[in-house]
Amino acid sequence: MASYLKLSGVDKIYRGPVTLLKPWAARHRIVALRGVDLEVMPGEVVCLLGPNGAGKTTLLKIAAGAVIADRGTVEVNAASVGFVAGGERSFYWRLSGAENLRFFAVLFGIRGAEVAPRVAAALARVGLAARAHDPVRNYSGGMRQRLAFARALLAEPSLLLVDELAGELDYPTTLELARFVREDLVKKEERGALVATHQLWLARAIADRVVVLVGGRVVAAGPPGKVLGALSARYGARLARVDKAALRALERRVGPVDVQRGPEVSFVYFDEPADAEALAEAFKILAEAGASPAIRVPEAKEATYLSLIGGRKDV
Amino acid sequence: MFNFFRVWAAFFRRDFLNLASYRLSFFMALVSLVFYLLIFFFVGRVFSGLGSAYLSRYGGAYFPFVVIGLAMQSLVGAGLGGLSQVISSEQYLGTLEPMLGRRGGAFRVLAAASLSRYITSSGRLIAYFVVSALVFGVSFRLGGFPLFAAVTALTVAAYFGLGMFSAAFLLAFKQGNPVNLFFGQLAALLSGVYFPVEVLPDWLRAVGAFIPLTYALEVGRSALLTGAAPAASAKALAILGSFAAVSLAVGAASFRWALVRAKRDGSLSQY
Repeated sequence: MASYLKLSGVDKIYRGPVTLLKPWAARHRIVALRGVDLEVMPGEVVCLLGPNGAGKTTLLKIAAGAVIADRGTVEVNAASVGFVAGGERSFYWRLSGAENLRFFAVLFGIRGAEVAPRVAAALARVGLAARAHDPVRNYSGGMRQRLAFARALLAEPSLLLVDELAGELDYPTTLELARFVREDLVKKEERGALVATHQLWLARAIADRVVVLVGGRVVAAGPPGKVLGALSARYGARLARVDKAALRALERRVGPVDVQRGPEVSFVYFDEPADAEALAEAFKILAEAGASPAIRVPEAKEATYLSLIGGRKDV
Repeated sequence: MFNFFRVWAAFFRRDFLNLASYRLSFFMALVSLVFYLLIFFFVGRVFSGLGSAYLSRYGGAYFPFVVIGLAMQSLVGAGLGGLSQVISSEQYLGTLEPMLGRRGGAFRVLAAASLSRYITSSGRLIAYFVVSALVFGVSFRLGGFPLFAAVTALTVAAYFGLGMFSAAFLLAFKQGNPVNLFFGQLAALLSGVYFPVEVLPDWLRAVGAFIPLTYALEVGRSALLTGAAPAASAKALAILGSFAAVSLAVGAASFRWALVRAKRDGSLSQY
């Protein structure tokens, strides 16, 4: 089966502006993508993960045709591509949702008599039919996000590119949208989807494969369970004070520790070490530093992912 | 070509709906046009009866002379700045990438968007003539309107090309636009919008000869104020036609280059 999207060895470097004071100076270079290989098959959801500035949006824009790659090949075999851009300011707020879609439908090449039924169908699919004629300025953030999906669906794309599926949506809305993308759009209708997200739980929930980008390079790719790791145990303890010597001793025993400082109390988290002796030693170090007894925190275990992205937490 | 006009119609519909949602703004634009004309109407009274030699070849009266200047200036303003304004406003609104984010067709979409601005400015051009005739009693030579329509079409073409050239600067450099400075602001001084070019020193008139509006005004005024035959304006029409051909070719090439450059830089939506 042919893939809907195939990127091979894609490089993208952004160059900063020429400065007026030093026009001869070399332009600042920002490596956005380096040698990226990626494929999206029909009926597959691929999630792009990575810290801020990893190159996720650039990759999506290259696939959408809004940015041109410097090197490598971009094969789009999908009959049509729908792009759901991040952010909600991509509509004409004084026009209704239906009028916005009508306008974009013509731009997307949909012809006369087909426009109205396509617009109505797209609005119905995202649950906005009842509010179709309200001005977009009266829509909530979630409704605007759904309208962005409706716009992407106008051309009945076989490949869907989604930049930040969750955005600032609340949990139930995100969950509903995630179900809609995976079950309705991709699994039932055999589309492909490339979804950038910061939410690891979301990637686990909808992705068939995840691709982790760091500094423009793919550092891991595969099924989410394999890439993000089995949920290894993690421990946390409340610190009476941040004792740097104790934390260094703790790191020597259990590896990297994550300290979250608060105005009144601070916490330390670390992954379960391989041997029980090291864990016992860690408990002892914490007790001597006046920390609370360390407890298992099964819901906060993203250690594998954090190690993939080099310990960065701005994900 | 049919698809191009459908896109053009979509932009027109969108702009109309947007404008209609600001009803007071639409009314105020008309009031402002009347006030603007009033200023020149009274300036014209200062010169009435003085028999200025400079105005004699345009029928002798200042007000009809300047009405045509103002009307044509508003039209070329839409051509010169239309595409840049479309790009700027869509960048601010965040709609440029969804609009152009698809593969291919970006040039067609933006060209159609720019042309939709001509509808609005054509309405303003007509309003200048209607208001000055009905409110201020100016009489234009009705027989000159076909020639005026022809010169307007050539002017639209010439300034559409310059508009693409100007938009290329906007896409490539974001700020600072020499095209608008020369063909927009300087044209108001050198083309004879507010006064006959004959009052200018020879060297400034020579610079004005490189601005298409100079020829558009010359032919437009001849047609509507003195009823000159088309043959009398053949040379000016030919020059204007040449301007149009060159500016369309250069404008289209530079705009396509700038669009690709912006996509390479990833700066399409940046301002």
